[in-house]
Parts: sequence; C-alpha cells; structure tokens
Amino acid sequence: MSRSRGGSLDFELNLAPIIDCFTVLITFMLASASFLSISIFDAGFTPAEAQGDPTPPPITVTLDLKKNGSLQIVTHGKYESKNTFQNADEAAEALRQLKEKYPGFESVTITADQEVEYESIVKAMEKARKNNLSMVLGGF
Amino acid sequence: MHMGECGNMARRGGGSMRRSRRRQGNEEIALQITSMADIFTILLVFLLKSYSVSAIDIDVGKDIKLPAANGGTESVEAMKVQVTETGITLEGAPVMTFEKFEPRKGEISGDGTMPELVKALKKEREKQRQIAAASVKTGVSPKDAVRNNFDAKLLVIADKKVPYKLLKHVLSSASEMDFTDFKLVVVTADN
Repeated sequence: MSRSRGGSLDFELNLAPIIDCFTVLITFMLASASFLSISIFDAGFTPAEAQGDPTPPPITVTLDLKKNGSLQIVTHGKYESKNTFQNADEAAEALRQLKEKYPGFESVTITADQEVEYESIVKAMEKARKNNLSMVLGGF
Repeated sequence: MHMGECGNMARRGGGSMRRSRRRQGNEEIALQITSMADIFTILLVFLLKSYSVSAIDIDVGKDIKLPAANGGTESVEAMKVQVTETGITLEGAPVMTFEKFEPRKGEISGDGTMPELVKALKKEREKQRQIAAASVKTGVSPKDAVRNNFDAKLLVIADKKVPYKLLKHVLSSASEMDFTDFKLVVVTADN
C-alpha cells in the first residue's frame, strides 16, 4: 500500500504478494484435499459366548436381503411374523412400527443371499439406522 | 500515451506478476490481476470449505468404489482390510488375489474362513499384542495390559460390488481372530 506524498490520498493495493500466497495455498490444498467424505457404519458381530444377555429383547428381528431385491423381516419372541417388502423404504417403515410397539427392541440382524451386493446391504443398513436401531451382520 | 499514465495503469494492474511489453516504442500493456485475485479467492474459499481434516488415514485404492450412504459416524483408527474385485489386502499388504470376486476353491476352508487371511490377521494381531505388552504400566500384569489394549475393531473397506458371500468369508475369518466390531467404510452421499 502506498500513499502519495503530495496532499491527495491515492491508495494502491499491491496484489502481488496476495496472489503469491493464494497460488501456494491453492496448489497445496488441491494436492492434499480429499473430496470424498468417508464415514463408518457399525456392524458389530456378537460372538456366541457374549450372548448371555440378562434381559433379552422382547423380539428378535432379522432383515433378510433377497437376490431379487426384496427384503424379508422375520420376527421371533413376543411377536412372530415373516413379511416381505419390495424396497428398503417399506422395510424401514415396518421396522419403525416394530420399534414403536416394542421399545426394548434395539438391534436388527442383517443377513443376505450369497449374490447380494455389499452396496445393497449398506443401503438397507442406512434405512434401518434411521430408526435408531443398531445393526449386526449375521449369516456366518 | 504519456509515460506517467502508462506507469499508473501498470501499478493499478498489479505488482510483481505484471508483465509489461513495450509495443511500438512507448505503449505498455499491463496484466489485470484483480480478476485473477477474485478467482483465487473464490477457489480458496471453496477448497477451505471442502477441506476435511481427519486424524485417521484411510487410503482407498483406485480400483475400489465404496458404497455411498448417509448417517455414518466418524472414522476410527483400526486395522484395515480391503476387499476388491481382484483381491484382499490387510493393512496395505496383499493377502490373497482372485478374479471377479471369486476366490479359488482351495482358499476357503469348510467353516467358511479363509486360511490365508486368518494367518495374516493372526500375524497382525500378534504385533498388536506385542505392542500392548510393551506398553505395560506399572503394577499392571502383561496379561491384563494385553486384554485392556485388545482392539476388536476392524475397518472393512470393500468395493460396492462385493457379493455378500465373499464378505461373509472375510468377516468369518476376522471373527476367528476375535475381531467382532466391524466398521464398514462408506462414502458420505451428497443428498
């Protein structure tokens, strides 16, 4: 920034050092930035010896993903049922209703056909998680 | 054009990046860097906004396409197993290779585990135990220290096309080595 000596004020912002800083900063950030935001889905697996829960849940729920894209919810315990849904949204709604009816129900075991892709499992987990249910991968 | 006017124009245009060239004797052309500064500012703001700082380093390979999902939690530090179309790696070291998500027959045992992966996990687990045992605090027995530092977490970085069959083999092998807390790595969806 400079000031003219003869009376009138004539400001001139020297942009060169700012541009220099920006160039270095942008180059560094472009090189180091990761544009993918990575997050984690918990899918705890409960070993057989750790299953001695003193207060068992009122119902146990299994969400089974089928090869044809449908989802089956099987419940045991106080409420026995087996319902098939055509998409994850319908299944999530059914889980929400179960959660409302049985507040003690907190986790869903997810199983799938051999050919079901990992992406479909994650999608199903994503929908189920919206009901504050924890996920447990099963079938092995 | 008067020399003084030319000088003023050049000064308004910028400083050291200005490139002036004399044309036909006295004429000077100055590079307008004000607009460049504007672009840089916008670019910098965008980069700062999208810049994510994480203490956890998850190196996702080029040949892996993670599934996209919302609602995940922040990543944690744990042992990493990667499952791709062509093989499995543990902590970056290749363990098994196969084609189109299909391990060879001999690579899967009767109980659904993968002996090669179990062996690699055992080796890594042993390293973990040794590190834990080495950091024994005063008054704590090595056995307790190992138990306290035992990490059952496993980060599963799998391609979105991985069939559940293969994933089950990987998870069975991991549970064989007492890994029970599986963390599935996903890309946060934009919507």
